Amino acid sequence: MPSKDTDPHPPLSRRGFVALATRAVLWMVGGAAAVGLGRYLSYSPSTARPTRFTLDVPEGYPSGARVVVPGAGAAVYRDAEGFFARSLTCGHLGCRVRPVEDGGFDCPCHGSRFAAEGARLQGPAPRDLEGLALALDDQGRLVVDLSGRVDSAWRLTPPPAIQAGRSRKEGCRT
Amino acid sequence: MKRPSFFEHLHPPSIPEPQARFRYTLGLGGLSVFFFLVTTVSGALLLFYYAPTYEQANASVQLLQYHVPLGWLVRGLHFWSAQLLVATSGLHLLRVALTGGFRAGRRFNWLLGLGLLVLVLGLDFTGYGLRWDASIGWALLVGTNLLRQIPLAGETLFGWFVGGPELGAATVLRLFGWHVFGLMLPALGLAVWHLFRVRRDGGIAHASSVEFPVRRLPRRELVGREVVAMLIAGGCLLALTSLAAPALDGPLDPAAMSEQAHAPWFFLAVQELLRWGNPLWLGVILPAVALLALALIPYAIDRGRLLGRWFPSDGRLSQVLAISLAIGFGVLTLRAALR
Amino acid sequence: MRPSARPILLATLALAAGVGFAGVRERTPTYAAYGSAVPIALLPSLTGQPEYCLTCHDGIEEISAAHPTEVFGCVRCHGGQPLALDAETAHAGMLGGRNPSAFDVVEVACGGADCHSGPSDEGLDHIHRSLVSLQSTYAGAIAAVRYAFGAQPDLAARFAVNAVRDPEITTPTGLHSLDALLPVAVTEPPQVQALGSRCLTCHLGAEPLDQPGRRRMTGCAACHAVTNWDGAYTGGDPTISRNESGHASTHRLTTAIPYTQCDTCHNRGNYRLVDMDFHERTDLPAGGSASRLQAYYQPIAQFTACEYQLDCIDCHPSGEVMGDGDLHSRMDEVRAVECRTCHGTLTEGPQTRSIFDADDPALRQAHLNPSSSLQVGDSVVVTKRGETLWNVRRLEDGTFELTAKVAGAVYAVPQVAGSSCEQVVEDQTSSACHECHAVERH
Repeated sequence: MPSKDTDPHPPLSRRGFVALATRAVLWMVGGAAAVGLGRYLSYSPSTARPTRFTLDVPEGYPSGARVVVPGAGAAVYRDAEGFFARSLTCGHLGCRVRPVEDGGFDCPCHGSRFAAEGARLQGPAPRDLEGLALALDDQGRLVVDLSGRVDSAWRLTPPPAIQAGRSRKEGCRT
Repeated sequence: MKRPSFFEHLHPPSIPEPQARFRYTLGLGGLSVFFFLVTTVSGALLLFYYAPTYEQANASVQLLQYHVPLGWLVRGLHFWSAQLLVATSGLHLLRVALTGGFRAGRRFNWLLGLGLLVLVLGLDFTGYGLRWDASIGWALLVGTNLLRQIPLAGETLFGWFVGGPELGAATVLRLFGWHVFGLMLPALGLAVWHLFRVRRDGGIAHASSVEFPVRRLPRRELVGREVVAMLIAGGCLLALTSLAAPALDGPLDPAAMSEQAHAPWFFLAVQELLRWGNPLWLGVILPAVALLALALIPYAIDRGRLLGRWFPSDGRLSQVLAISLAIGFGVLTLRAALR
Repeated sequence: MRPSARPILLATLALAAGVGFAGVRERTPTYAAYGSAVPIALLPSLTGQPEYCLTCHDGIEEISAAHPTEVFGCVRCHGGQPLALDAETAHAGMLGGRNPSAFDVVEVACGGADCHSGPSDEGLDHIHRSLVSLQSTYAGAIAAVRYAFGAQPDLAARFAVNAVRDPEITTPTGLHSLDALLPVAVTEPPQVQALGSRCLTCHLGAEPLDQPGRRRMTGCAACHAVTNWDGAYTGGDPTISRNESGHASTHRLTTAIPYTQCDTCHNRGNYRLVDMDFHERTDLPAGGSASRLQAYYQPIAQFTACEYQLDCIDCHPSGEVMGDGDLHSRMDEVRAVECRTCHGTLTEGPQTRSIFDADDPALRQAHLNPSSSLQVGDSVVVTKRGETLWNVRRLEDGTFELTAKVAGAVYAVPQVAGSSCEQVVEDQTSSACHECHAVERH
């Protein structure tokens, strides 16, 4: 074997190259395996909850309606000015408020009470029920979005319904 | 002088060269160890995602197969290394039978190996069941009902595997318990003992070296050969996994099972046997008798003394027995597969 | 002696090749065939569980405005495996294959007290009504043929295509149960056996004959999923072939059902009791290119202008077509719409009722149709059996207008009262009106 102290940079013999190449490939494979293991262990299934809930067309809700959207923790109202929505999550410690007969809500956890449109009446809740954003989707249906916040005076005015009196044919005669 | 590490202690400082010849052992025992290791490591990784409940079992396998990064690879490696383990174990058994490796001094190790084979088959079967999909329903039903056939202990054994009067939510949990611990720990124990006995009984069976001097293979070279074998086997395993994924069907509903009724490939022979009649005789007693015959080879059937070669001339009876059992198994399996 | 290095290098390369295989497989998932590089997740608000069907089916139409994809997702109706990303596993456990409204699975796919198996007084019992309707049971045709050949003494139905029971009867002519005709017993007259073997492709649960113009789905989709002449799919789902029959025209359910859908069974010809064979009408040009006037009714029919210019459903509401929830023996027992329902008579106008409740079923039906502007407070026409025709409305000035459900056009409905009609008030049969008002087809 060539002695190391005669030549500070001995040329790479074929055996040395083979050993080096082997080691390089093994390191690369090992690196890929380590990266793969990291990715494998890091996966978490999406625990996203739905935030958009689709409802009926505006004509389906007459003025004065209050609809609790199932599964959404929200209520949608229509008054003379238009549509608005309120979150049914109590601002105190996050419990879901329940509707009561007089149109308001009460919170089962610590007794907060809210008026029909979400105003805070009594109890430890720090604020009114929050206003949620409403929109119309491309089919003209109402959609409530749990992630959008609006103030209590905000309204969605629906587009005017298709009016009668557009051009009518007289009977079926051709 | 540098002292040997733990891993180097797994091998003796040198072994007689004839023992290590590939054409002698075919490396089947070593391959079995490799596949056992891959199965164990991949199984441990699967534990992070597999959910052993009735509602979630199949869905968690789907999550692994389709959504977890490289989950398909871990699952596929686990499946293929397990099937290859069963294959190499069986072939290793045949090799030892046909080279007289069970002869005097190694008889108990032969029994340990047989026990290990039974445990590996049990692990493969319970592993199939954990998929909990429509394709394994019949296999589970038949397999557990076969247990019931055993006189006296049958109902109890059935209860231990099914966890109730019929296949249901408790069964998934039980299969999981058996697969990950109940069969696995004894298998680990037997495997370690089996490998220890190989060394204690004098290494791989070989002709006595008194007659002629033998070259000895140093430990480093032996390990080098094993590393080569593991690398090639690993590459083939990865390629196989990439090209062929294990099947996955929708969740099992024991009340509404699919029309296909197929045993897993290693039990196809038993399924074929069962077509002929009595489940106790054909499904329990006949396989048990075959196992007993194998177990008795070193003790009652074989009387020879030659070691270290294929088809020793003083072992015809045991060779015929081993080959007929292998052919019988193969023919039955083929018939069932071609239906 | 050191182990020789070259075998180890080659073996390492074998391992690297295996890793390469795995890497390639990781980068080329099966669903990439349909154009998507990553799985597409849908999170329907009804179930809260992610579904990956759109990974391959990206571009498929929303099934209807009443079943928003964001709310229902796919699996709620179709079944299948929401997490899977290859076709075989994903489609395991699907209900009814491509049609979850097929009658053998409709109760699981579309049913439920909040969906289409609800109370009849809220109009939510669509599945029950469809299953016992005459279009499903075919009881009228079967009873007529059996009566004609002496197998039964009257026209009351005793058999349906499949056995069916109805525990709750709400009309005077309702029946409790019907036995299954199939398989036709050998004791039946040969003509009834011929009926059983040749004539039963025209009930809702049957696969239609595979001929142009007859192509439709089964179950609810037989009417509500519009098919075109050759039964091929023309929508945006990349996985569905455009060249094979057996598909709806798009992945949409509609209540605006055009007359062509009804004509996949109706107006196709006549069966003759003499030879128990069906004789197709011969007056239609090939290829589905006939005009509305030519195609609508078969040559023996008599009809007015409005009867072919409107669609069938503009006059025949769901209570007639889907039934009223009872088993009946004849079409006459469910058919209630007449000319005078909308046009009135010389002495009185049409019967109407007002809609005062936002949950009125007629209002809900009207909202499904984009042409309708019906609102609480409007007055609409009712048939003599009380069913509401929500598309015929009385205006404030006392006149009536009809909104065509499919075409969307609005028509003024001429009233008989105050006109020069020469009718005999007691004779309100359709043939009496047709005597003057029928059109000729040239």
